[in-house]
Amino acid sequence: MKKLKKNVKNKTWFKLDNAGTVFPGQNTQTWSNVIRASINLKEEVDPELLAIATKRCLPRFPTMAVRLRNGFFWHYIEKNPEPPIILPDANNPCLRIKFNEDNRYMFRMFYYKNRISLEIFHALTDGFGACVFLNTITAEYLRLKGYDIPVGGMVLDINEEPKPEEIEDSFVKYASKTGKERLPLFKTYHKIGTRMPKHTTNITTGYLRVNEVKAKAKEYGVTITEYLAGILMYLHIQFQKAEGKKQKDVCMQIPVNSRNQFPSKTLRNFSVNYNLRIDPNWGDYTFEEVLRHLSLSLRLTNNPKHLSVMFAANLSMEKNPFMRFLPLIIKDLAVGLVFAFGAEKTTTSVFTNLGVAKVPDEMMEHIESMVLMPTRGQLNGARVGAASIGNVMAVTFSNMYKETDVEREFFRFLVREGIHVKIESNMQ
Amino acid sequence: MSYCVNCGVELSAGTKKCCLCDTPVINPNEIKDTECSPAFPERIAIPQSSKNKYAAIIISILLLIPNVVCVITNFLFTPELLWSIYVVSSSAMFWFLFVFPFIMKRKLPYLIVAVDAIATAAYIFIFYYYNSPRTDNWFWTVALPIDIVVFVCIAILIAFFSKEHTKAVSAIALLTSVTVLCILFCMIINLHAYSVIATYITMIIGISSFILLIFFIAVEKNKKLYSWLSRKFFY
Repeated sequence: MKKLKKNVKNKTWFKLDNAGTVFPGQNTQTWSNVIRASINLKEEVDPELLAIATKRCLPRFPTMAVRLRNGFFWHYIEKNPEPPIILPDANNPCLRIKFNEDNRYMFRMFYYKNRISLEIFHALTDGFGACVFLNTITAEYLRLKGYDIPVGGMVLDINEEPKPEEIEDSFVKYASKTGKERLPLFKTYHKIGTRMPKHTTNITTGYLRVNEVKAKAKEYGVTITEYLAGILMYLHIQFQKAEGKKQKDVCMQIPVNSRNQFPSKTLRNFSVNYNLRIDPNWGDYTFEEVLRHLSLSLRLTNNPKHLSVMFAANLSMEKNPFMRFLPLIIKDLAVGLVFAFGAEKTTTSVFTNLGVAKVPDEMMEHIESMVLMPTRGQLNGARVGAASIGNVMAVTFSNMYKETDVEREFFRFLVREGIHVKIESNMQ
Repeated sequence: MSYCVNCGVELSAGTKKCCLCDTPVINPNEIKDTECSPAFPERIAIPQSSKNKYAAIIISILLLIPNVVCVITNFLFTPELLWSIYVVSSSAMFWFLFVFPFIMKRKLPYLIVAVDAIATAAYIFIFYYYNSPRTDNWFWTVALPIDIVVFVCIAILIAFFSKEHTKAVSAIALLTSVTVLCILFCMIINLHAYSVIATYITMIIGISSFILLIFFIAVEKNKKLYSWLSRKFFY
């Protein structure tokens, strides 16, 4: 174990994890798969202290303090000796990542008034890993401000050495050896509108009270994720019906944190996407029926056995000898083409819920809310990310279109259900 | 603290309109001119245009090297035969079609089309000038008119597709342009070969396109027909 620990500290390069291998190939001049996590503090952010805090935290996260390199067959990440970049926030979050910008880091830290934001390339980590990274930096920032913040929950001890289990590729570790699954591909409904200008996204965040949403979800006998994803699915069915065209399947993509099912402590990617479909041609669905359909489908599929088979399916490319020895340039081209012509065609929208972020009580006193924002889609109109901290839940829409029909109907639905909603947007 | 009268959601302090439905916010109790901070700054971070320009310059330099070598070799060893003109003209044609657009600071599509039209005509002219007997004037009667017709058609299509259209209208536009192009090609070639303006050969294409056009226009105009077809040919 001692040898392993030493290895982590001295390791200068890492392979990308199984999920991470596809993201560089999807990258374009105008779009990257980026996760944005923000923490709203109760006081204005000092950028100089934030820079110091980020720099101090980097050695604890060896797989974040890296730059992307091209091997002959695969991309890999290597230790980045440059200082990280702290920037003032802009109106257009989730800007594309370029591997030779920002001192070659694949994450950017932003500050704006009382908000600290982290935008990180999905090849490095998933929403959970991003939030642990951001919370640890924020805790260190608050310590530099003079507050006594202990470690715990999503705040890691930066004086500790990085652990081997935090940098492992858990997909490989927990993939099924025998199970096989072929993911069905269907063309699905997409709500379209007027595209936002290049490099910009229409962002709308609704702040809800966790206890109110929880109580309402409980009334329906479902979880918060199922309840909110159910509303989104129901609204898309209604939108499609109103358009009066051929009724296609409505498919919600729900990324699931696999750490809840397996004893993994990895800070790299370890989430998989469940695609839950409903066929509107079967008849008119009430909200309760949609909710029941989604809830039961999710519960049926969300189990360790199914997850491990999904990992195995995702690993098939990496294990295929033909694919392994294909030059990287061809792999990237193939991934880009598959993504451009396939990926988002099979999903109507995305709903990702981080759940309640656990941080020490001493830190909670300084935090107002936490926001998780997925990158805008290329076909999916409004993609939704949700995160909660304390009793505040932030539901954020990243929309590639100017029209806010989905957001409007979603929040109006919640208001009709008796849930208090406070709205803010980058279009104000 | 203001609420949208339409949506029922609470809005940020100082907001002038609801960001969900654009309904103006009028709250007489809210003190005017209060300093409110928007959720996001106004600055939009547009990344510097990618290094396309530098790549274009590098490609231009790389393209220049074999051309210079060819021209020097040509004049040193076979000065009586001007074969390097084909290498130079082909490289120039490639440069104007594929490199020139990336060098432009502001992308002007009509200028690009005009430059491409001139480059294509010049390229064909070189072949005409060095290879054809002086009695044959095919460049002036066939190549140049076709070049002009094609690039004018491309310019019209760019103007048309700069606005969003339904799939049926787009199909009508494409089909019309293909039909018009075919008829014009036929006319130009017949005029050159037989000195008559005739469109017999393109009649087949023209009639098929015309029938398809009528069909698309009917589908576009008649919602009932569209709905019936959607039901009948549902796949």
